[in-house]
Amino acid sequence: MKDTEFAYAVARIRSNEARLLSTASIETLINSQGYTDALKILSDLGYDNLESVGEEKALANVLRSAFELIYSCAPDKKCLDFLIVRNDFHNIKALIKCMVAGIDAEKLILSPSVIDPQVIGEALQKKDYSLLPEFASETVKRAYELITTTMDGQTLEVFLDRKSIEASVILAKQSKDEFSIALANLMCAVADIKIALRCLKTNKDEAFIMGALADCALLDKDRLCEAVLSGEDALCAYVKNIGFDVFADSIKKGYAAFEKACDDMLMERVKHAKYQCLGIAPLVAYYFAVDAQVKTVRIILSCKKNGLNNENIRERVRVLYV
Amino acid sequence: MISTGLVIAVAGAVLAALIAGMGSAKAVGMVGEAAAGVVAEDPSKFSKVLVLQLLPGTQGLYGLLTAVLALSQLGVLGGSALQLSVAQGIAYFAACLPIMIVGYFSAIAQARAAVAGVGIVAKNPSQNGKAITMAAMVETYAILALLVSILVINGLK
Repeated sequence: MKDTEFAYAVARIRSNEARLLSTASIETLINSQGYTDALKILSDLGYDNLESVGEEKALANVLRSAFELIYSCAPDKKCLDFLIVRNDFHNIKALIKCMVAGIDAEKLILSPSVIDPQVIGEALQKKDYSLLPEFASETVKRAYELITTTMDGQTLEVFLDRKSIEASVILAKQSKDEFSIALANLMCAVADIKIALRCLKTNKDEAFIMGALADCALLDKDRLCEAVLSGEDALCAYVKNIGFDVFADSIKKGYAAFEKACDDMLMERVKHAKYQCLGIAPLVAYYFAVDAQVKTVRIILSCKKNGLNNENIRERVRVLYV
Repeated sequence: MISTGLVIAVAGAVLAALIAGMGSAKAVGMVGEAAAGVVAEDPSKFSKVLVLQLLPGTQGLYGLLTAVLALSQLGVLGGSALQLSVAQGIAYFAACLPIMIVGYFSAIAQARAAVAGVGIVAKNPSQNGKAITMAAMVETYAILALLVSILVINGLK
């Protein structure tokens, strides 16, 4: 698809970018006198329904609205699928588990999603997986067989989480957009390193680690697994070796610092889209920008609620797009 | 009877208006899409983005100007067309080439600069003067091409 076809979409996104929270607004929020004061500031900044709707729901709605905006103006909707496919895998997980347990999954369904959850439900009911798109049909079939034969919820979760990461890369490749492919690969690498660190902290064995890690173009699964089994220093050395130096430093600082480093790395990758006036990149970057903003607001509110000091909050605040 | 030379000369004039016009139409359309994106979010910015949308429209006018000048000189507009040799026809065709080619490509290039300018207006409307200036710089090359086309056509009198 030609980048010039995104002229309308990018212009709309640029107008909306002007409404994103600035670093100065975040600083004001950090310096607020407690949780109630933070809510009041946020209300002035446009988050006026945090109390009435509920914090979590209101923040989720902000992210959903951001996706709806980029989806509504994108000339090719399919090129954005890689951003939301994780919701599909959450829905698959919920629908399979609820089906096995004989309960209603409606309240657990996430939107937006690539596949209509009703179609997933129908495919599971009829055992007709051809109803699903290619990237999901075989996975749903295997996931259903896995839960019915092992009745092991954790194995199902691990399997679907891996497939979710891989599906994001597959869909990005289908879009044939270089920016999306590079970003999906980076997201995959970041997810794998996160999994590796979790496996290290919980002393998982080789079979579990290999089953949890997604195939990634930016790293070698076998070597990553080997590094996890050898300990934290080996993991840090490996991530440093493949060019993720910032992760090696953050792993040593603790999990909160590592999570922040992961989000910040993705933001740094999308940030150059600020200087692109055409193409899909500004749309994807806007979604990441809102995501980072929502995470930051959530962190600040949570810290204020728990009485953390401003320095501790600043350490956790994500790099913003604007 | 119409000479082959005249046909070649008229083809040059028509293509100057046609190709430069196509470039401008495409370019104005592209900037129009971007402008619509901004106006959809903030209708008060209409006048600011309209100026940017108009900028790449000039190449089409330059093509038209060149075509009218050439056709007038060839006597086509007055109804008494000249008898031209093939060499004279080719000379007129060559005279139309600068605005034909540079007009098309500069319109597209200017549209991209103007779309970027629309982005500036979307985020910071007070900087629209800079956005216009940057897009207008591309105009220089369309004007140079127009100048060459006019000078050559006049020289062929």
